Amino acid sequence: MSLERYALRRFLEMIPVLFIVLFIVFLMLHFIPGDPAKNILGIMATPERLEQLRKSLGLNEPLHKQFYVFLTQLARGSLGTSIRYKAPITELIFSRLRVTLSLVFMSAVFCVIISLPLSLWATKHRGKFPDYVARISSLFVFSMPEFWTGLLFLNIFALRLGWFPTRGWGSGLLDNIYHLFLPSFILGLFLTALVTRTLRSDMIEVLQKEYIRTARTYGFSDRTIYLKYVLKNALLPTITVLGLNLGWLLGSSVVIETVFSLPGIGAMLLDAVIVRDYPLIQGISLVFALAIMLNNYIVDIIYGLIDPRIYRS
Amino acid sequence: MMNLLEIKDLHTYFEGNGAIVKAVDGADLSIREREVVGLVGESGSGKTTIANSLLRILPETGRIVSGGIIFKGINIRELSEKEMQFKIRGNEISMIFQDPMVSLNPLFTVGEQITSVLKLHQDIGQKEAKTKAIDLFRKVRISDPEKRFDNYPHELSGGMIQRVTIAMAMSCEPSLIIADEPTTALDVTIANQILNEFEELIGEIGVSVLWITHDLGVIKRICDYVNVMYAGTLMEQGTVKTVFENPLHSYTFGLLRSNVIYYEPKGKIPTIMGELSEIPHQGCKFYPRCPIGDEGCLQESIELRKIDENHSIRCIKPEDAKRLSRSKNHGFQGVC
Repeated sequence: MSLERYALRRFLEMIPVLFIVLFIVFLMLHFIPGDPAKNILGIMATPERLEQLRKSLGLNEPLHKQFYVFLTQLARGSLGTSIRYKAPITELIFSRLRVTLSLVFMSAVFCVIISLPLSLWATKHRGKFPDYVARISSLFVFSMPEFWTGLLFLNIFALRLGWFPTRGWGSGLLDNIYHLFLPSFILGLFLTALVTRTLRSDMIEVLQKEYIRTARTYGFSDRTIYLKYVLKNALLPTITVLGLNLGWLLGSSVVIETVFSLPGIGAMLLDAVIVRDYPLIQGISLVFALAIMLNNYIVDIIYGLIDPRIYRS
Repeated sequence: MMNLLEIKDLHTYFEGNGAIVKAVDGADLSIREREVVGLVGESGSGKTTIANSLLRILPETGRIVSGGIIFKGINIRELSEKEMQFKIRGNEISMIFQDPMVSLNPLFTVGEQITSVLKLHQDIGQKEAKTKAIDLFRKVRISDPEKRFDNYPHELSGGMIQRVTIAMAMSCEPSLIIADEPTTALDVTIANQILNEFEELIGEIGVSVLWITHDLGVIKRICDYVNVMYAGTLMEQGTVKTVFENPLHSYTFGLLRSNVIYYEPKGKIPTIMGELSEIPHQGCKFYPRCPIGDEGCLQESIELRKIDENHSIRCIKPEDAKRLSRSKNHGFQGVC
């Protein structure tokens, strides 16, 4: 099988999963016990308003019809209207998606530029000082919840030292990056610690392999051995860990966006939950689910690129 | 005639958790040009550690404590790490490994792996390296070499990969190839085939070989000279003919006797009882398992001494060993 066919097959395999995801998101409204309309408007709502909402959400129709309407709407690119903002949900999400994606992307960049050299350094000097630095600092990071790290860093670097803005998103690319620096660093910390630890232990394992001994026997320098062979062979488990943790990253973005008052969809999700804007919650959940599916797909392709055994046998 | 390689009284120790393991404790070995030299001994006798010392690729816990390794008149121990990388490893001395399935990197094609060695040691580009690699593949009788070039190790059989590693070992025209039990992990028919081809190839390119094995049959078949190791120490060395026909060390004799190919056993197959771990602090290391040893063997350290031009032993009682080898009662206990 070629890489292209492997990519296509993996893509087709996503379709049934997509329908299951859509169905679960659709059912969210009905998972909560009681009348959805009452849940949204609260117990003080008048019967007229309840009836009006039921009508606009189509709640009087049978379930399969509702799902059909949900799907056809989606096919037309509509996720319905937000109850709170009185605006189309797709527009709301798109206007804020940029912030969240930038945040997640920047934290991934932080993760790579810190964890890669750190784990290489720790592996090279395993059992010695650099190794202890890497291991203890990542343990330290593991033990701190990000809302706390967020507040701590906000207090020190934004309020006391005044190096970074305390809130908001700014305007213009450079200003955006400047505003995102602190929040994305904090969001990326946990992942950095995780990747450092995984990569370090996997690289140490790879170093014991016979093929590394072969490379050494044939005169390759330490530099080539580490950067070309050890790193590539150890990367697979790390990518698994990274891929699995994207969901965690999106979840944490809710917290970080709230702490730093960033106008992303994570913060919007929290708002929607507070005001019980169920259609909006559905819309954002769907986006998160799709993001994770897409991420898993990309991870699968990277797998294939690194280790051809995955698609060639 | 000058020796290509001369190892003199080599001691390589491993340290860890406060204990010292004397993996190689007095090894003497020499290899002349175009000579195939066997190194035989049971598992754990320090054969591979000699090879690793030779290329200075010991694990971090290991170090060469004393002794000389003279290769082409140069002391390997005095070379810098850079010189080892560029001049010696893969270039002057190359190696073939025990388990072909794990000795190549699974994430690179076999072509990439052999061309990277060629490009490292020779001043050639990718295209030229590829042509050379395919020629080498053809030489080691890999069928359809152009196609195999783009295969990953998992797509080839064990015998095929061993051919690739042989091609890799010959790629930079080394003076010495160390073969570390290269046929042990293969099934008998494939091992036989590869052995035949390898024998032909080394004759053709005129390279010296250090063949590490515990298979006496292989030694007898392809080696000119044999070295017998026990517990990190060299016990007997000489031409294959002398040592096999007239072993003067009881350990060598025991090894030969336990091999049904050379001595058809009358009744039970004789074995060397005991374990490699029982080593006395002083004197002969084989004493606890030796059928002819007495207190005298433990009195002082025993030197390797020349019996004649092509035969040396580390034993003070060669006459007794000789008598042992002639007698019907060989002194070793039988099992099976």
